Formats: sequence, C-alpha cells, structure tokens
Amino acid sequence: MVAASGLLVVAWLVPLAWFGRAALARKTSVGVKPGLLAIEEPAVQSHRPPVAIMEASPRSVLQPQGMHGTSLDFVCTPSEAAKQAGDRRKLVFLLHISGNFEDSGFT
Amino acid sequence: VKALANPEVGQYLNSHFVSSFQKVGAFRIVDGRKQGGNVASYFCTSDGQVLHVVAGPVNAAALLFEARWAVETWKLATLEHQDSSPALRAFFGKAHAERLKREHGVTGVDKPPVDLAEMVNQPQFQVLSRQARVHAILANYPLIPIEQVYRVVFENILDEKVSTNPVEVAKAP
Repeated sequence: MVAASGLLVVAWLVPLAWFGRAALARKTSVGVKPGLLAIEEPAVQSHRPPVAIMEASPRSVLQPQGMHGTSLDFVCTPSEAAKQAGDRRKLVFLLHISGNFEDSGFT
Repeated sequence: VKALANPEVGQYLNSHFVSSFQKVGAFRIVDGRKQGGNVASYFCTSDGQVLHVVAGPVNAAALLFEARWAVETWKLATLEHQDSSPALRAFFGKAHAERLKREHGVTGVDKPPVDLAEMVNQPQFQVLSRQARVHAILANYPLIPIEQVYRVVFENILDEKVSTNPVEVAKAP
C-alpha cells in the first residue's frame, strides 16, 4: 500500500519536474545570444531524487548499513570517525568488540 | 547492543561523538554454543587520546552516565587548560583518581609505575574490579593514545584475547 502510494507520487512528480525544467529553460533562453551567457544547472541536481521523495523516505532506507540494530550512526572506520570528529569538533566513540558487529549472531 | 539501541543513548552519543566500531577479538563456538565475546567502549578525542573506557557490557543508564562524565569532564578540562597538553593530562588523571577513590575506595595511584605492562601485573591491580582497573590505568596514564592501551583493556581487564579471527569454532574436549 505504502509502496503503491510512493509510486503514484513519483509518477506525478517526475513529469511535473520535467515540464518545470523545460519551461525554465525556455524562459531563460529568451533574448540571450549563444555563447555569451550559458546557464547551466549544477550537475548534482540531476542525480538527486525530488525533495519530497527524500523527506518521505524512512531513515532505515537512507542509511541501512550505518546503525546495526542500535540508535547510533556509525561511520565505516575509526580513522574516518577521527577525521569527521576533528572536522565537526566532536569526540570519538569507539567500540572494540569480539566477533562481527554487523551480524547480531556474531556478537 | 541493547544499551546502544536505547534512543536517549543514541541521541546523546550522536550529538557529541562520531561513532565507529572495530573487531579486535574472537569468541569461541564450542559444539554450537557461544563462549566468550566482549566489548570495550572508548570515549576519545579526535586524535585518539582516551578520555574514558567502559569495560564490558553495561545497561543504557550506565553507558549514558559514563558518556556524560567523559563529555563534561573534557569540557571542564579544556575550559581551564585549553592550550596545555600536560595540564589537560593532569586534569584528567586527577578526575580518574578521584572516581577511583570515591567509587572504589582505592588510593595510592599517584606514583606512576615505569610502564603499563608492569602496572597491570601488580597484585594490587589484579584484585580491582573492571571499572576500577580502568580508572587506575587512566589516573596513571591520562589521555593515553588508544593504540597503546587497547590490548591491555581487552586482555588484562576483559580477559579476552586480541585476535584477527572473528569466530573460533571448536569441539568440546
């Protein structure tokens, strides 16, 4: 049911987004000489899903590998944690464990 | 893992720390039954200096208490001694010594032994509880780099072996 609703939303959003961009392109190209002013959208926008879809996605779908059945956001390696902590002026929380933390049957 | 699943613990740790995990030991499966397995939780600075350690599994309230203690003690230390590493170390060493005395009734850790390996083999160290051992080590070696202490924590406090093998499967004798 939820998946079907999501598909319906996507089915509405994608054509609307396409028509919106086409209209914007037509508007901005009026009166502009080729080669003098090229208006380009950032490349990253074309790879991102519409905002409505990102906000509607549950956290487990966006970050399925980062929590391992806990309430913590884990980064991949201790060195990455140290780097991010330095950048974000945070401390580091590091678990040393026996077995495989990713598999609840192995911890 | 149960303590880490607590939302309050998650919210606090996520807001003050960047978290990661590392497998350093193995547990044994003997005739299909799990034996051993443990966890050490480190609170560190971003350059790997150990502020505090929780040795072994604890409940959510205990983990949250220790996390808050590490954060608040670090804040106070940096407020008073922002630009001096020796002073920061001294501050944290004193904080651990005070907890060792207050919570475990142990004093006399103000004379650092020659090295860590020598300290953990002393009889008076080996009669301490796990968490008292943590405070004793960090009172003598405050802000020690994690690579210099993790083996001692895992092997001398948790009684586990550091190993690159996640699971050892064996048959009962």
